[in-house]
Amino acid sequence: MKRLSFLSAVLLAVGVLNAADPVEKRTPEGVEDLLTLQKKVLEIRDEVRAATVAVKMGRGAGSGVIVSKDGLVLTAGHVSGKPGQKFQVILSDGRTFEGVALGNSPKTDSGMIQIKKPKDLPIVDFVGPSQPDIGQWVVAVGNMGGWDAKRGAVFRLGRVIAVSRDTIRTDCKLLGGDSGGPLFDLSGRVIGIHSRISSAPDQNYHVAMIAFHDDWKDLKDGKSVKPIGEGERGYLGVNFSTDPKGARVTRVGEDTVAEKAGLKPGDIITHFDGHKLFAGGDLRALIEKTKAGDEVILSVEREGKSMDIDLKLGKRP
Amino acid sequence: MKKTITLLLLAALLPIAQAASLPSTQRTDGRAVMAAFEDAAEIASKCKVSLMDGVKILCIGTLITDDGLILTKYSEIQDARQPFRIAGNDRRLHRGRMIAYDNQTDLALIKSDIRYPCGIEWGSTDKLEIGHWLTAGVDARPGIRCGIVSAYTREIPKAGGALGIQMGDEGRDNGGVTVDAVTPKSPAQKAGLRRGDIVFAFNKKEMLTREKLRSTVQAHPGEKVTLSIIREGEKMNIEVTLGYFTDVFGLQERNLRMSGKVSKRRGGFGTVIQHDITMTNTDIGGPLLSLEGKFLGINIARSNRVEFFAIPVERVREFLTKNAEAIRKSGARLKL
Repeated sequence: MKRLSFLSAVLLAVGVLNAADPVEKRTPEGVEDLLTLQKKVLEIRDEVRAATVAVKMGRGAGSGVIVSKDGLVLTAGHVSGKPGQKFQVILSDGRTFEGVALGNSPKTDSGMIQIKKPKDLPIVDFVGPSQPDIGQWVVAVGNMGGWDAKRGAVFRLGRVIAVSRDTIRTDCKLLGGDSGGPLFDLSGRVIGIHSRISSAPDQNYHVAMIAFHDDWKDLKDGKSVKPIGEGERGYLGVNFSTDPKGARVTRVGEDTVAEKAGLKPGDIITHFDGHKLFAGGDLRALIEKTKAGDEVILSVEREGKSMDIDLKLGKRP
Repeated sequence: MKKTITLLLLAALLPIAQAASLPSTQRTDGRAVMAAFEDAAEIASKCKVSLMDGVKILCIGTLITDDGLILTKYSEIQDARQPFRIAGNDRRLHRGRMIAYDNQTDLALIKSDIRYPCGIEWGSTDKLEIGHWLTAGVDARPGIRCGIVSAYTREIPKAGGALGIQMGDEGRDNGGVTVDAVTPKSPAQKAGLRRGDIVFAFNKKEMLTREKLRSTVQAHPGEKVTLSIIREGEKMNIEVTLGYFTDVFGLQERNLRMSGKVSKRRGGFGTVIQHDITMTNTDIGGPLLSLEGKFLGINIARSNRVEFFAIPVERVREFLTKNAEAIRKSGARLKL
């Protein structure tokens, strides 16, 4: 997936994008471009609406999306709630299944539900650990206000406004009941899960797919991913800036694990224990999930060459 | 080319942090995107008018003839003084009076003194599907926004009327229905209804049981009604403007709170198109257009932050055909 480099950020800012860019990633310039976009939207429409479900518990209503034939549903952590909790999962064709909450992460708001006794489930793909491009066109689906057979899941078009490791912000309007519903790219793959809004119409936030990948095993194992207290967290001991490839080390602290492991200013940390970094801030987000004493592998680029550095994280001084 | 370079240099001066979010002009209905809808924008600017109460905008209207016939949303203008003040695209203030309206579709027809071309090209919603582009004439510049068809075209159930009381004892021996509690901020509280009051009539009609009172209230959403009550042994009348069930109770309350201003009437229109075009509550009454600018309907409700409804153009035609006589009498000429 293409990363947002400084150059493309500048180009976006003035709307002069490379003409070779596929239309779903840039600003349409006329009716022809709009029709190309519409064609892509219509191609994925039926599939993505079919895999979107309503999740019901008592008077509470949320959404979700089925991503495997054996009944795995991605949703928001504040929808699935306590692991083991039971739900009604209503499919777009009206069939109702029993679902049970797997894990969740209160920090990122990712969550999973398992459909019991799955049968002939419509499913969609999801993206790997990658970030959407700013300006990319996306489709939001969800059962806003709860399940409504005559209306069907509500379908919305929008663009990606901003991204961070755990969150995607778009101008696809969301409202209560959409929570847990899927955000799709125009290839029909899930790239995020609806999470929260504030009152401004462009303040719509989705859990990024990366947040699911980062905690996948815990979520599937039915664990609630506990945030690690500041005092317990691992510590590396570097200052860094953001780089298209990850975190660029700007300073290495004296007597830190980073110094002992041989990290040098100018090194670019591209992966943290196997997780790809998309921006400098990702390093902080990933370290926040570790404990002092955890052993991790850093993938580093130095003078154009890649190397792996093993180290044991220290304690914050 | 020269222009491009200047823009690039300007952008290079922006801090990176700013460039890392999509500029507002590039958003789904931002200026840069709306520029692609050139044809629709031209038609929207011609046929869109603003209905004013003094200097305050009531809602939008849609000019459908070259001799001043305007369609709009009835419930947004029903209480306004006539003749209406109408701001046209000729930057002049016009006048107009309502010549017809329809309770179900909530459409109103106004004859104004506007005499410029409306630009309307009548379209059809026959082949309209979820995911198709749509545009709408709105009040704010540049006067048009885009979105897509969001759900199946269908009927929206009308929200029932709501009073906001908990009902207690009932029956003739009790003298009517006793108010056990009044919901805060409800129509009942606003009208001054109190705990212990006994309601015995609705619009002067006797109403002695809970079921009768409930069903009668439900049947009169948004209406101003008279309740006859007994308070401390004395009979009196109280005027109440009933609310809509979802405004006062129920699941939708929180969603409405997060939605800003919504249309007072949001259901019971018969068949409507649902779309996701950003509109304020005063953008209602304006034209719903296709990607190319064909007239597809009249925007009839901002239901919440996500759901916007429009009366399909075929039903607009029915309404106009039904009122052919009123149109002829007004002196306007409309060929359908």
